[in-house]
This record gives sequence, C-alpha cells and structure tokens, in this order.
Amino acid sequence: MAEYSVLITTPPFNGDSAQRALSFIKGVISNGDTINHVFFYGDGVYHTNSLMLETGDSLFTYGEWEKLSSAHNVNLMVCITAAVKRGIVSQQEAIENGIGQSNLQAPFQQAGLGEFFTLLHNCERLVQF
Amino acid sequence: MAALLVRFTQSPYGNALSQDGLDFALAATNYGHEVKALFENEGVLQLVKTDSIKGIKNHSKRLSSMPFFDIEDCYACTESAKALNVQSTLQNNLVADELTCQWVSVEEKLALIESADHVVTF
Repeated sequence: MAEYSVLITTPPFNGDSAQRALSFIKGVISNGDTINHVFFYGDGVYHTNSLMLETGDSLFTYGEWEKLSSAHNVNLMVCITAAVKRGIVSQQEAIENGIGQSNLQAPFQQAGLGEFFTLLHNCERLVQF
Repeated sequence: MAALLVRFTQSPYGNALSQDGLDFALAATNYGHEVKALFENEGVLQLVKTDSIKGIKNHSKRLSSMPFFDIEDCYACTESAKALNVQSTLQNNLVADELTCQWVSVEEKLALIESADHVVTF
C-alpha cells in the first residue's frame, strides 16, 4: 500500500488539470492506496475560495473537493502564505485584519510549507497537478 | 528524507511560478529533504543576473542564496539555452557562477529525473 502526496499548483480553470487531479485521487483511493494529504500551493490555492459559485457548464471543483473530503476524509491543506496574498483568508485572519468577509473554511485547513515537507517524509510518491 | 528535483521552467518575472518554486525549494531543505534544481525551457532565463527594481523581489539575487540553504546541485539545460539563443548572454552574465550551475544534455536531464524520489515543476 503506497502513501501519496498530491501537490496542486494550478488554478481550477486551467484546462483539465483539476479534473485529472480529482480522478487521480479517486483512483488512488479505489486502488486501496492512501492519500496522505493534498497540498494547495501557488495558484492552486484558488481552488479553496469558498465564494466561488457553480456556473453549470463546467466541473465545479470546489464542490468536488468537499465531496471528496466527506466521502474519504482526505486531508486538504492550503498554503497559508500563498492563500493570504491571493485574498483567501480564514475567519481568524479576517477578524485580525478587520476584513468583513472570510472565504476559507472546512474542509480546507491552513498549513505551511513546513507541514507539507514534514508529511512528505511519510509518502512514497508525490504527484503534482 | 527524500531527494527532490525542482524544475524551473518559466521566465523569472512572467508570472508567480518562479518565485513560488524558489520558496518551495528553500523550504524543503529546512525540513530534511535534499534538493537539486534544474533550469530548463524559459527557466534558463532565471540565470541572467537582473538589477533590483523597487516593489519586485530580485529573483536572480534570491536564486544566488540557494547554497546558503544547502542547495548546491544546480543544473541548466544546454538545449534550452540554444533554443532561446541565450548561450552567450548566459556565459557573460550568469547567476550560475554563484550557484556553480552545471550545463546538462537531454540525456543527463533524464538521468537527473530518474535519480530523484520526487520531481516538481514550476
């Protein structure tokens, strides 16, 4: 049984990369292997913006991540530095900085590159989308 | 500990990827991973020394700090430099001097990828 780390560095609207990432993760799980975590980094953090709405004509990736998390309890980690500079803030940061709105919530968890690299020690494979 | 190969494939200031990749590489060695850097495609342009501009992080200056983060093994793709016709520029004006960057052929690049546990591309 292999342990996988998934690194997402592309935004939700970049061709089919989000779709491939989701299919890959589902495939890994159905093979009986484990997704240790998914780490959203760089422009990949745009996946975690809870203010996105479904437009009906394309895959709504935000909803897919939520489904994935509730079905398989996948650890969805967001790089905090990459997120805040792109305007994706948790409730705590919104309060601390006097911003009226937050747009990062469960199942997404804030983390740093340090946590990602620490968990990577337990993974045999790292796959980037 | 994992052996990571970080591929830099974009021009230095065209988008955020070059900076994100460098932050990624510098953090990795802090947490016990081994990092090699490979510059290819437009990424070889990151090896051109650039002046500082107010408000923008000087990428070439940040790159030259890699040895202080234990990233000693840096490679640059000869073919990419040829394709972009920047060989002479790079020879005269190279961050690679400070990084002791090695020029590699396509075969050597493949060997680098083979030898790494994980490969990430920025």
